[in-house]
This record gives sequence, C-alpha cells and structure tokens, in this order.
Amino acid sequence: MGTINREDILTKRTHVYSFIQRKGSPRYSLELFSLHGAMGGAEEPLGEPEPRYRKSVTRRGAWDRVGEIESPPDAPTTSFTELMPRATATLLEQLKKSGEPFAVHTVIHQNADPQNYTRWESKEVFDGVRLTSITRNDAEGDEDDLVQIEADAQFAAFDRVFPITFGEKAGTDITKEVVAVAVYPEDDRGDPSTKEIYAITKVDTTAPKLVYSTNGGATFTAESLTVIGTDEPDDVAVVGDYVIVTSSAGEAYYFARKDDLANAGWTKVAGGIQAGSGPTAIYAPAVGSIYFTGLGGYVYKLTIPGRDVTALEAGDLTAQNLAAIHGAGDTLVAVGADNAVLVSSNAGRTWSSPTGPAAGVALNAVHVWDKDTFWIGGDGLYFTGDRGASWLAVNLGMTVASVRAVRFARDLKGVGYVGVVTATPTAHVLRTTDYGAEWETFSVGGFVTSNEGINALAVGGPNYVVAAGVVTAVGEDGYLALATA
Amino acid sequence: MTKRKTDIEQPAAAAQETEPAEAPAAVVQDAKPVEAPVEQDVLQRIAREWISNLVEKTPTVAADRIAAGLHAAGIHTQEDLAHANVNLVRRVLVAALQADAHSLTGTAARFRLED
Repeated sequence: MGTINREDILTKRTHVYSFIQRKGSPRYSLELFSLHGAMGGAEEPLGEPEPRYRKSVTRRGAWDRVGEIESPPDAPTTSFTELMPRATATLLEQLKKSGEPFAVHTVIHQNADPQNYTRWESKEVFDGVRLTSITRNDAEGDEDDLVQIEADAQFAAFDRVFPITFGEKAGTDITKEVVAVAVYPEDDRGDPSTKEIYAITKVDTTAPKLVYSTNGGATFTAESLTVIGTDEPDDVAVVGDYVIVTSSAGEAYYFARKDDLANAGWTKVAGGIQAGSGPTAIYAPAVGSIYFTGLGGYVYKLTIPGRDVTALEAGDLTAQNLAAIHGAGDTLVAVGADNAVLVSSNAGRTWSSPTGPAAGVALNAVHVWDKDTFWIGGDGLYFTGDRGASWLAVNLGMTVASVRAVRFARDLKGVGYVGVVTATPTAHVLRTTDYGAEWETFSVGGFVTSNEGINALAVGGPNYVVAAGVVTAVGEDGYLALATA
Repeated sequence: MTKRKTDIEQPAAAAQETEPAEAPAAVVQDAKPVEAPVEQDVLQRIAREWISNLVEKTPTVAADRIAAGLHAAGIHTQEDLAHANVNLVRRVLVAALQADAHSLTGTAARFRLED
C-alpha cells in the first residue's frame, strides 16, 4: 500500500458525478442526481448463437446440424443505489411513471464542481435509459432529508467520451481546398487502424484530387481524377464497395470500386441528371438507397453505382440550389439556399416543404436523428423536434457567421460535432456530448484556428472526427485534420 | 404556411390578368416606373424586386420551367399556346412559379436588411 499524500488528496481527487437529462434533446439541460458515484455496473448481453438442424437424409431419425443463427441480444442493463435529496428522488419517480427514455451522463473530473457538467476528463453517456424497477427506503425523512433509491434500468446505447486532439493529415498531398470528406465505417466498431478516410479537393492544376487512407489515417494516397477534368467536385461518399463523387458543374456523378481507386478505375455517369441541375450533396446509407441533392431544387435517387439516376423531386417545391441531404430510415431532409427545406417521410416518394429556420439564409448542413428531429446549419445551428413545425436556435457559446457542417455519432447520438466559421473568418470545430444542450471546444483540442474555412465533417464514432476545409481563401490551400482520443 | 401561400399566388395571379405567355415581360414593364407612388405597399415593392430578379438575374430558369410545364401539359407550338385553354395555362403558371416561394421569402428577408 503506497503512502497517502495529503496534498494529493486535497488537490488531485477525482470526482464522479452523475447527471440526468430528461430527454436526449438540446431543450433539456442536465440535472445532478448523484454526488457520490456513477451508475452501477453495466451489463451488455451479446447475442447467443442458436443452432439450426435439419432432418438427416443419411441417418434415419437423426438430425444434422447445419449452422447457427445469432439470436437478438437482451437489452443492456445497469443499476444504481443512491442516497439522494428528496427532490431528485421525486424526479426519478416521475421518470418511472412517464416511462419515457432519458439520458444519464457520468462526469469524471479532478476537483470538479458538481454544478459544472461541461468540464470533464472523461464521461460516460447512457442513451435511451428506462427504469425497470425502483425501490426506495421508508418514507420517513431523516434529518438530512435524503432518500435512498435503488433502481434498475435498461439502456439503448452506452459509450465513454474522451477529449480528442486534431492532427493534420496528408499535408503534402493536399494543396487545394478540401470540399468533402467521408469515413467508413461511421461507427466505432472494428479496428480503428483499418478505418477508411476519403477526401476530395478542388481542381488541382488539371483535376480534383482524391486523397484517401485505408489504415485509419496512418498513410494517405493521392489520386488525380482526370475523369472529372476541370469540373469542381461537390461531395464524396463511400457506400458498400464504392466511392462516389458528385460534380454539379460536370452534371454527373463519378464512381469507382474501393479496391481500384486509380484514375482509370473511375466511371462518369450523367444519365438521368437534368441539365442545369447537377448533383451536389450525397446521402448514401446503403447501396440501393443513394440520394443526391441537385441545383434548382432537384433530388435524385441512385440504386446501384453505374446506373442512371432518377429524379425524386424535380424542382416543383423549390427552385433553390440544394446543398445538403441526410436521413434516418425512410425520412430524408434536404436543405439549400434561401431557407429551403424539403422533407420526405417515405424515402423520397413524396416531399413537403416546411418553412425553414432562418428567412433568406443559405442552409449548408443537415443531420437527421429520426423522423421528427433534425439539425440544420445556416447562419447558426437550428434544431427541430417536430419535423420543422418549430425551430430552436441552439446556443453554440460563440458568435458564428455560419455553420458549415453538422454530424452526430451514429452509435451514440448524444455526441456530435459542428464546423463553424466566424466573421473573421476563422474556422472552429465544436463538440456536444449531451444531445446539443451544450457545445464546447475544450475537448476538441489541436484544431488550427488560423484555418479560414471548414467545408465538411465526417464522424466515425463518439471519439473520432475528421474535418476538411480551406486554410486561406487567397492561397486556396486546403487541410484535412483527424481527431481521435 | 398560409401567409407564404398567398405570397406565392400574388405573382401568379398578377400574371393571369395579362396574356399568360408574356406574363414575365408584362410584369417587368410594370416594375419600370419605380418612383411613381410615394406610399408604396412594402409587399408590392418586395414582389416587384423579386419578379425583376426572377426575370433579369436568372432570365432562363423561371421561363424555362414555364416552357417545360407547357410542354408537359401538351402545348408544344406557338399556335397551341395561343389557343390554349387558359385554365390549363393558369395551372402551369402556378406550378412553375410556386417553386419560387423560397426566393420570394428570401427577397423579403434581405429587403428588410437593405431598408
């Protein structure tokens, strides 16, 4: 047993506080419920393989084992036992009665102030928590008016969040503004050293450059895509075995297989694209469901790379140039110039046009959580929880001229990033770990703030983000920066 | 939502009163005597600026959409259009100009700033 240093006890004590967020939404701030510790142990059962048999054709009356299938796992659970103030106990009782999922944030920090949940060394975020049982001690108040609660809870997702630090990547390959970046896979399952990063630059002398890494950013390869020529690219996406680039100037999309990204492996496809309405942004959740926005209010669908696109929306609802598209399930949201917002709840078969969040403002970015909740970046960051019927202007904690990109982690939606530009202009990356209620820069260090612009963010997990943009508009030099824990 | 709808229909309704095919040109002529009334309705000023932008700054887009709509409605020649059912042409005009609701509201947002 080591010597206890009194100085260390006083100055280096690590505190653990837990906070409840009534809903995973920027409209709800965090409420302290545990001063003494964290959630109890979390149990995450994995699916068990179930054997499958068939009647044997060679042995009478016997069964042959032909394989197994994964059964769905039981829900992960956690529990806590906590002596808490009566008011907090009442809040838990309410949450139990309402049955609505809430979020729990466990903040770990040295010498932390229990009222300050925006400073942490690491934190745990439990998403979609539901109480399954709750036990309280007898109702007689003791002199401290504290109540002991024991509760069991199920949760939908859990992850640890760490401070992350940016480092520039592919600095020598990138000499022009980076217009878009994509990461595969978008969650943090699998080996981080096999993560793939694809970035596309503006035309570099004769053609745009694809700069990519298939080893988590350890090394990069640059490929000049002369198939695109001098048409400026708009977006890059990776889906299945394909990498896709759009160019509204070229009025075409370009694709190649991931294992053959050399210039000769790329194919240009212009079929189905309306003249004057070239494709801009890409949303590609899966092969078979690839969506492009276009100039002049167009939205296109592509099934398999190589085929012609079909127009889902042909500028009937808006004539504005659309700049971004994202979705979740069958919900798609596209945004563009002059406050244009298009929403489809049936995978693009029909579209509606709710009034956007900021009159006359060019909307640059969109992220969809589910069928009702979207984030939109324009002159600020906006959130809706009712399909665009009402908008919340989110406080980013700094004055920004425009929000250029917004992305949340796929596997833990409470953690997200925005890329903003101030009036100076200076680019920043802000992070939230509590569903957008608070945004901060202290846990995303190392971002070079002399960068003047940011065009895209790609998120590969709660602790993994890639930013791309322009260093100076004058020299047109671009950058690609990767931040991990 | 309701407010925006009336905004959209204003230019379309204005266009209907004149010869449909020449609607944008007719409105531009209206826009020329800018200083005429002293107490000009602000919505009128916005609508005039918007429609002049629509015609002058993006000369092809709105007209092209009207032409494409006419073709889609089965009107293919000058003669067809001259003798077309005005209700059909009205529907084409509404359909073609409703896509500019965002640009009208955007003009209004910027108009206030400029004032």
